[in-house]
Amino acid sequence: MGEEARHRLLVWALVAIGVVGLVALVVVAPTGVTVAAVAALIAVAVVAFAGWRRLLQVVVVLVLVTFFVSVLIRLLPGDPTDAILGFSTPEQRADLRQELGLDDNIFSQYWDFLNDFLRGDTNYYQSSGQRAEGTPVWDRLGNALPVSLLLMFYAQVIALVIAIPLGILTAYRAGSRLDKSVNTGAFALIALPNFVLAYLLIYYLAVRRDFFPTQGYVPFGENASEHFRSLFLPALSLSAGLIAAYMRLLRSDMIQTLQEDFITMARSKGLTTRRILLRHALRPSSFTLLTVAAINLGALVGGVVVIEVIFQLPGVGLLLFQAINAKQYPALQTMIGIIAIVYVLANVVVDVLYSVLDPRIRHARAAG
Amino acid sequence: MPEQPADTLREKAIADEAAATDLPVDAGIEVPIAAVEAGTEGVVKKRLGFGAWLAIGWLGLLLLLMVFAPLLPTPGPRERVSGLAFQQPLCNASDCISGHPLGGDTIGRDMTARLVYGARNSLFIGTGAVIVGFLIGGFLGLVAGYYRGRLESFIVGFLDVLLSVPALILALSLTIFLQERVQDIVGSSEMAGRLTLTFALGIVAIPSIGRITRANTLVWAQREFVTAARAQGAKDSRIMFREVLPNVVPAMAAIALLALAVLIIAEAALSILGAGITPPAPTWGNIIVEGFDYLTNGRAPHIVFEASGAIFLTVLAINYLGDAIRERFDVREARL
Amino acid sequence: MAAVAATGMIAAACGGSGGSGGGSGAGGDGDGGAQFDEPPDEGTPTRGGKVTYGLEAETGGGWCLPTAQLAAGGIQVATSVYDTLVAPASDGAGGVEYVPFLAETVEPNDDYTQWTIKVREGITFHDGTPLNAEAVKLNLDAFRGEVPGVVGPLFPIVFAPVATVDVVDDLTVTVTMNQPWVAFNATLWGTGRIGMSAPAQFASPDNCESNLIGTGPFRIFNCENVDCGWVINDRFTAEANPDYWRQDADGEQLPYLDEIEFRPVPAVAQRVNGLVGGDLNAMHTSDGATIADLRADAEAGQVNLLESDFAAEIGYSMLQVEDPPFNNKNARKALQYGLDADELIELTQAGVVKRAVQPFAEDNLAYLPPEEVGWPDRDLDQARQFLDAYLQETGETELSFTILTTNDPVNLRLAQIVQDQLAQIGPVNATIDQVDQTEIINTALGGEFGLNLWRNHPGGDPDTQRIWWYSTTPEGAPNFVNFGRINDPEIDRLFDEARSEPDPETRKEHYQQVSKIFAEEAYNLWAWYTVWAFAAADDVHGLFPPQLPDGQDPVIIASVQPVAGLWVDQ
Repeated sequence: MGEEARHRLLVWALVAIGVVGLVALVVVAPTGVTVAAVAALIAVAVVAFAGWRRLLQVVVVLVLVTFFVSVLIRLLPGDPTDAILGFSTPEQRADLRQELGLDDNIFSQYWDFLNDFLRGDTNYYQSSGQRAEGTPVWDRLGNALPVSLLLMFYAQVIALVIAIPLGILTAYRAGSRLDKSVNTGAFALIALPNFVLAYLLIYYLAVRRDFFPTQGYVPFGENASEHFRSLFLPALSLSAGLIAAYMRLLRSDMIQTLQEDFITMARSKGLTTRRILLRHALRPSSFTLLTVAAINLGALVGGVVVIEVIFQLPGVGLLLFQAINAKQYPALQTMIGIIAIVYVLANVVVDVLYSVLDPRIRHARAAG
Repeated sequence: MPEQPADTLREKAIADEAAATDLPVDAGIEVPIAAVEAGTEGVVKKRLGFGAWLAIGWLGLLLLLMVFAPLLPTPGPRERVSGLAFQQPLCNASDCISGHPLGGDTIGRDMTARLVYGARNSLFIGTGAVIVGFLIGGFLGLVAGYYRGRLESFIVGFLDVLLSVPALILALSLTIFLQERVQDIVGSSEMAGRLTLTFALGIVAIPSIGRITRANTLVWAQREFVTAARAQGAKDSRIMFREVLPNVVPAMAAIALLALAVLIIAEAALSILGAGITPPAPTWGNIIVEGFDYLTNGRAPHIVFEASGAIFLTVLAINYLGDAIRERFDVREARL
Repeated sequence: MAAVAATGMIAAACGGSGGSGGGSGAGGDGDGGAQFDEPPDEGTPTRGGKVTYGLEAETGGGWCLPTAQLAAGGIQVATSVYDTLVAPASDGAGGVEYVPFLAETVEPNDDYTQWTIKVREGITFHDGTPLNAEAVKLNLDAFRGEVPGVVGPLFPIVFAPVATVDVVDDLTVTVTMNQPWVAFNATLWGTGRIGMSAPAQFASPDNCESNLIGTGPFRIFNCENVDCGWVINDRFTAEANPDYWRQDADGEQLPYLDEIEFRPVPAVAQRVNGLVGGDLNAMHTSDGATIADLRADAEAGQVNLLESDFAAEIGYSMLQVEDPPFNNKNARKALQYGLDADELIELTQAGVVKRAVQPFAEDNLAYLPPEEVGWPDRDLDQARQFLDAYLQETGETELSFTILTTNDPVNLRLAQIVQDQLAQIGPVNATIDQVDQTEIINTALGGEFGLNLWRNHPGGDPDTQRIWWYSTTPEGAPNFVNFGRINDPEIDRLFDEARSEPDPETRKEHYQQVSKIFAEEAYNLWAWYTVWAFAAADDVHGLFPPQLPDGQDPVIIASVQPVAGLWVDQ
């Protein structure tokens, strides 16, 4: 086995161990331990593959982002506890002010916020008018996260399923009528916001015809086919922009690859077109796909929020929306903080993965 | 090729890919990946095609409508016409009121008027946000690209932090938390709504605009005439604003247009999330939100579709135009 | 699957001549009084099944009943988990009387200074503890604000005339008043809010709001077969109470269902979609346009529908009259003459509801024929005159205020039409303030509005409305539950006297005088009598509640729909 292959095997083994260990932890250990373990794992990976400097960078960004989030509540004019608790006694409001650290200076408020946050002690205040108690945000996020993740996952799957064949096809037939019309279609698809596509799909497939439900979510455990029916239109709406992006990138990438020497050689060897396309041309392009997928993460998160609200799917986006409506500012802070942190970490992980997997980068590192 | 700013290994790879494949790729606000004229990769078009003229036509029409809105032969955007509610577009039946080709909205206001005045608001917000983004982000990018070194790292770090929060979430949080304070300052809740959105979306646009400006500035700041000017003892600020900036601007024009398209969509998204402007002031976003229930019950889908269509056509036109301009000025080198 | 053909059942109180009623025609022309009709025969109820009920809103504050601020959605949930001591029944003469429900007898003494409540024997709470006099006393004391940890903002004021609650024997308590209280039993129902909770629920105030333990047909405490619980903004799931104390007329144990689940779906269009699409198999709504659609669906046999406009709530615009601009009577009169309630009814309620010019429904004992109330007809010129008078008096250039409304599309539409109507009077600058349903009671409590689109005041006895318009609490503090901050000594006096007045005719006159004052002062701009509709999938039956324990015919008031009799085709 060559050097490269062994390296790759090592990496995949580590990833596998990591994933298995993580799942075990999530199932067995309390939230705090799991979070700590995940954080440690990511930190180790970052240092191993991208150096201490990168880790420092990540930590700084995390600190700044959480600081920004903790400060948001101070932007509100007047007394935020007014909006949060509404009609309540001054003692309750004072208690809440204490708890939120609004009477302290910004830094100790931040410190408190961070402490609570890390311990998972993040509250969701009810406006019962009587007490400043609440249910923890973590609980609700725990229920909502799988829905959002599934939605994003299905959107990616749909996008890939449609984009890859189209990309290959148009690359193979570059310059043809088909190619031109697909390109124009892709261009239009990019300009089409995901919610507009959602409206079209809802009207023609759910209102005029009864193929799909207009709104609502069915968990997989409850009814598998209804589950897919309830997520199909949302995932399709989300996938629109992705399809266009993936297709175009794949196409131009493959056009380049197809012009390379080793393709000519393969062809001269008599390999079938299909084999050439799928095995030799597609593989290098998958890295680009991964890249674009990662870059589009931000757009996807935004899209998920809007689509969840339109289709009333009980994911993180809808949670955010409801917290906004109910003026639950502390809960909102926590949610935004969590989303931001996960986003930063996801980007870091993709970064690291990319540098691990991309042979060019690895060679550059090995050489330099 | 002049040294590209490579903040991470991945980004370096992206930059190479982008350069190779003639596609602008941006890690921040999602500037859409524009069309590559089929079969013409690598060829820089110098003439605006038919599509670009269509785009200019639509945008021109929109501009005309917006400017001459008060002169339109329609009722005002807040004027309720008795019996017009939910009227279908191009309605011929006997109980339809003539003179309302786009139909009526949920309350009985004329859709044409709503859409045109909605365009005013939506584009005001979008343009304002782009301006904010350019004023702050452009300035930061210019400074970073010109001075390099520590200052650049600091600015890039700051932009990175802004990029760390997904764009919509950032816009949403800023809008929610700033809305009331702005209202205290401005008084009118309508104006406050517009300003808050403009400001919030502008802030969200800062990082991408900042980065692109910086990339462009880097390219230009290393040219000989700049070195020469510096050798002659010209002040930095003079060089920056007199020599470098004018060369950066054309490239940025295309980015400005593309950003505008994205922000128009963002305004609509924020309206859907409940952070938009409260009716009766119209924006394309809140027209959609008002009409949504009547889409799902099938009674008056035209409200949502007309506003959505307006957004789609405008974004399409802007994308096309922005793209054409970008290709004309050949900013391939200046990406990222 | 429904073997029985779906019935479009409408039991509306209509047809003043006591005819067969059930008119599903447009325009709601029925007189809104009289009896309920004989509910159609839906066959023998089958056991088992689940109802998923779409509610108007979530109840953010939970169900610690003495402290809770329950709106329509919350009351519906409370009705399934708790029982009240009394329940509304038809009095046989077109009105309502409050008959013992959990209680066996509820009797006043001769001068209404003492009421004796005896509960039925053998009723237990969901945690097995008995419903006895001690428990009743604890509950009543809690509502009075005498139990630490569960003191609310509303009910201590409501129950202020109660001096003491005393246990007489194992099942009996006496409630002694510090003034004669003629209609105390109406307040004991409290539109379904005065449910009896188990003492254990109050024992830990911290989770009182989510630890519901009642005597009702469904429970969330110690569920055995169902994943019970309350996930806010998602669902409230309860299982059938196997030890429920009621049977139906044939002696069958209630409830028939295995399980009931409440889902808050604020957007009414989505609620209907849910019903049509199968996510929900029951829902309620008070939106006229939706009810018109549901009537058509019921005619087509797609849904089962039950409507109630009996002892109805009033939909109206509440003015905040303590602060400018509506502390100025001319401003109020300008709106009273300028608002076009008939157009509102036509545009937003599809003509389903009937116009109201007083806060009392037709079956309320204080109802006055509209022509005697003194409410002016719409007159834009007069309105303009009043507006000009206001502007002159105050030196303002325009009449400027906020319109408070919930942030769902239906109410936003209503708010915009109101805004537009008022703009036609003259220089009126109304801005719309949208607040989530879970928040709006708080905003109202704080008086942060000029005009509030509101809906309230159901019931047959006007005594229960005293709390909403009385200027002070018993201790003399401002009464914040009087959201509009009405401070009218005449209204206060009339309510005080009527509360203790034993002669029904005199009481009636007092309350009718209140209506006339409202017409003169225009504190609230009454618009229409709300119609509540309860719609269910065609295989869900029993929308009309079963007979009361002592054989009386129940009535549905406002949104309170008893669910013990629901059943699903098997």
